[in-house]
Amino acid sequence: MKCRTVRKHVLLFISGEINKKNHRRIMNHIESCGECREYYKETQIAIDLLKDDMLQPSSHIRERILDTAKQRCVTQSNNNEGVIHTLLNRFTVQSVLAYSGIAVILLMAAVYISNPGLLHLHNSYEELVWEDNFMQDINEIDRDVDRFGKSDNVLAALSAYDEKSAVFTKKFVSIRKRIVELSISN
Amino acid sequence: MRGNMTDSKLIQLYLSGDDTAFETLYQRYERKLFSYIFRMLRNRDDAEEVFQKTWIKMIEKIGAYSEQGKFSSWLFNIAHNCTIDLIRKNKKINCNSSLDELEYKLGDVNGNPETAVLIKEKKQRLAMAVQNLPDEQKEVVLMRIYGELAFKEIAEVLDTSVNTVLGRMHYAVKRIKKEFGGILNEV
Repeated sequence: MKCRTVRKHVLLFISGEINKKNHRRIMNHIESCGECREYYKETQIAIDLLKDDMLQPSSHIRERILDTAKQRCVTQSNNNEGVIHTLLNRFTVQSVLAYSGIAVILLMAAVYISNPGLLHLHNSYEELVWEDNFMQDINEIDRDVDRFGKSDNVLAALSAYDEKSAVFTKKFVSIRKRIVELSISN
Repeated sequence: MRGNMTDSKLIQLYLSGDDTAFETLYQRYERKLFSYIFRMLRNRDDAEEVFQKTWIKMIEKIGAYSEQGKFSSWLFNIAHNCTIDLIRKNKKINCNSSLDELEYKLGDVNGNPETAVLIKEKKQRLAMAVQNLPDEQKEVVLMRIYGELAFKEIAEVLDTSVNTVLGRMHYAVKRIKKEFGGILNEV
């Protein structure tokens, strides 16, 4: 290590703000170079001499600061307790339920807004309900046909079946269309 | 026990209602901070005013203290700003300030009276040499010597680079050594 580099880093060396590797290199250099050793000693002495005169403020200043800190600490603790007390008083059972209801509605709205795909799922759920009704209707027609087959009024049974099947066909077309749309969007 | 706690831990305890944690923190920095402010202002009344203002500001702002930065840098930054404010306000850095101010602690020397006088004289000269440094160099020297801040922390307080801080310190020490000549070797 060169003398110039050692002198450049001597302040960091004295303050201990240098890594071990450089510390060792500077130390080795100082041991072997008389001029740098002198430079290091003078710097160290100057700093030590200055360091010797640590001063203190008057005791009343100290007391005033510690009092302020104590008051602030007490005020802060009281404020914290006050906030908790207010919150506990405000939240009665009724208000908790009301706030919970509002929170759920807001949450659902937020979920639907952030994820429009969920609306499709919601519609799919309606379709499942409709499907249940549809199966009930089919079974009913089936029973009607059996019933009318044993009577003379077969035409009436056929008419009722055509009317219902036309509605079903229309619904099937609608469902198929939406399934295709969903498959495209996914 | 408390003495081993980090500054951040002491602040946490204080914020949770333990005012004795603040006392520990105060004791840790009292002398460092006051020595720095006193040397900057060279007047005991002004130094005590700024010292008190610094701690009051620190207490007011402590809730906003971020643990990302070191507490010492944060505290010295407040002190530095308060000191500069007072200097600007009063414009009263009096170069002919009485040595009495500087002798505040220097007179307290034990041992042989003759040696004590010599040491006192040397220290007075050294203290005056520091006072006569350009402000930029002086604040670095004072933060390093009295505040015991690392050069990196001083750079944070002064919002400058470590190399600039090292450069200022280097020139300051060089100047002091030059002014004193062989006197340093006699100490």
